[in-house]
Amino acid sequence: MKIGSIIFASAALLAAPALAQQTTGTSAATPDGKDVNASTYGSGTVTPTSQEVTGGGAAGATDGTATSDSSAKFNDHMAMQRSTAEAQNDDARARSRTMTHTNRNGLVHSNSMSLYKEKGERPVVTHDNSVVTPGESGE
Amino acid sequence: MSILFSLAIVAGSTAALPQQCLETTHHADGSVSQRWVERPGEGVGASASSSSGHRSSASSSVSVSSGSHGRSQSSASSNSDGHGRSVRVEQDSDGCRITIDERSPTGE
Repeated sequence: MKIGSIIFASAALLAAPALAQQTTGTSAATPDGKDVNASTYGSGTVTPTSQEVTGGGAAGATDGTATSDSSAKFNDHMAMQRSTAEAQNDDARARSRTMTHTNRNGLVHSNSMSLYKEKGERPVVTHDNSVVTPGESGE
Repeated sequence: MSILFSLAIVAGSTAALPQQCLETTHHADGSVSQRWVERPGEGVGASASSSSGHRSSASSSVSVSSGSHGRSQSSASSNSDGHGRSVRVEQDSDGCRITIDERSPTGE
């Protein structure tokens, strides 16, 4: 009797649909090997019972300044994060920014960009964007 | 070597306002500014900056989750030629927990 119940319960668990989980993320970084650099990243995950966002940034400068800021907020309906990193010296500047937001319907959207510019040169810009809508798999 | 250093700190709770965090910013010119960050469960943040005569670096990170966990945390660090400090902030329904690790120029 008990064994039958266990088998039935196990079969029911196996037959149940897997919990939907939506995950995606982006990142952006300025070119390597420069005196100033900046990078950021972010990602978000939504499950039927929770939302999570995470992100960060890093910046470095030779003979200059570097700053990084990360913040996030959430409530019952959404979660969002924003990370920025900036570095500059007398010859160049580097910036990077990532924003990620989720909502309880299963949307996850992450967007990153970076910009590197030396004096007298054209800026080098990169973009990274990823969206997972309800019902899609992020990875 | 002249080193300027500033670091924004999301600082701890107080007895009067146990559910809030205070953000204190030490500016490079020696000034300090403070502001209350948003209520726990709604927002958290951290930032760092540094400047020096040679190499500067800064990093920050944040992670929040809602739902059954109801917790959030963020951290920031800044260093410059071995000088610097790191700040870790964890925030949940019990309030704020702050860990500050400050290194001396000699690394002690």
